[in-house]
Amino acid sequence: MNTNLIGRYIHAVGQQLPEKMREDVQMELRSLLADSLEARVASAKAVGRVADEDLIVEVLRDFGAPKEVAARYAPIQKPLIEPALTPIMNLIILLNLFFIWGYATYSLGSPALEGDATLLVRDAVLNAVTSTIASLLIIGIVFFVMSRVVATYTIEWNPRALPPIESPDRPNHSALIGQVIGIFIVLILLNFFPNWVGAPYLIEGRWQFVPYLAPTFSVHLPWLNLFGILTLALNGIVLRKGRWTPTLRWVEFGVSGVAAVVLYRLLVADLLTHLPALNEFLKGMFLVMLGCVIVELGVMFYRLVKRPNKVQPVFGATILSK
Amino acid sequence: MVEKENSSTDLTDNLLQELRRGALVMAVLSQLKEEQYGYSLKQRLGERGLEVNEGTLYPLMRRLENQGLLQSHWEVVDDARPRRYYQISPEGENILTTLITEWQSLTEVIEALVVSNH
Repeated sequence: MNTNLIGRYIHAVGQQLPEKMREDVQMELRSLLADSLEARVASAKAVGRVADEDLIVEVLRDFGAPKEVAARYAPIQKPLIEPALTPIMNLIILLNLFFIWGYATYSLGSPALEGDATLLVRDAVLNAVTSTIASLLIIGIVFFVMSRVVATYTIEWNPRALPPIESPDRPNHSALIGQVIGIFIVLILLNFFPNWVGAPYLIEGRWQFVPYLAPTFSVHLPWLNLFGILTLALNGIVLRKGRWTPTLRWVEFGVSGVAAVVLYRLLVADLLTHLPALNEFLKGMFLVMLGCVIVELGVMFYRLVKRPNKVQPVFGATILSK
Repeated sequence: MVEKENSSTDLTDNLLQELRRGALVMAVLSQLKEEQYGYSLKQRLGERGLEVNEGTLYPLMRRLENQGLLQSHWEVVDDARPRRYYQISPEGENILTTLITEWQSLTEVIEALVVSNH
């Protein structure tokens, strides 16, 4: 019997409420649901009915779907994009950004480029930014229209189908494994086959492979290796343990600090590649990445030091067994 | 044909909901001269003939509190479970008096209008 349906219900309502009122509403809902369930159990027992999970389901059905209840507590505007469509939209945006900015990198790595490197980078970045905005608009419009169509279908709410409460300590296995594979490949390439880091270009009617990295790039290898090995070790331990512990979160914070140092060193280095336009472009990218890592460090630090969430007890079973 | 019937039912439901919405605020305020927690208020309204869905009543109580018409406090009852008790505020009392006056005059007018048309 799944007596934590009430906990999952309260969690589902809370997920759709503004953070400032979440804890208070959840505490009140817990108390109100307990009262309703108690009354329902008493009535059921009075007519000789068994107090089981069905009673919890009935109580939750009477309260209403989490989305509707949350909307009554804090009326919010209908979202532009249906939450159910957001994961697929994010994936499309990510692939789209990868292709646009990957193409910008590729075009600046061409040995056939001539002219002032700064101007070439400016033009490439402007093109990439324009393409990014245009594609985001198109993707946004398509998903907005799809959201209106999806929203017209109403599915009957089933309390038994409430999603489980995801623990923030549960690791995202696929992301961690993806990182391990990616970092392993990059470390092998940089350490043993640096000349393979490049791309093929059509030069004088013939496809030729152009390596990107300058020989001086090797001075950055110790820091890059340190970051890579620390990340591999951390991900390995988290995957083995199956959860994030406070200590592992602090280690993650430290590894992100190392990432910031690596990015800073790459940013202030003289020459990363012998292709001047690509060199400037990469430095711009590293600057943006360094900004993101610093913000991430701030967020991580805040999460590490802030008060941990109180664990709410499961009370459905206690009431049913009274 | 079936679609038309459905839309007519939806319309009726919506109109009934609108009709009840304003009256529900008055009903809740009127029953909170003594403090009550959510479930006891629901029971009290039910005993007096007004069945209200929990998903509607409880958020309404909080909304009225946010508007300053109710005041609340948490209290731990016998079985050590905390409950939030609500009571009408002085501002809520003033507004309830205004609402009752308006309600009485409105029902008189509507009754006269409905009777004259039947």
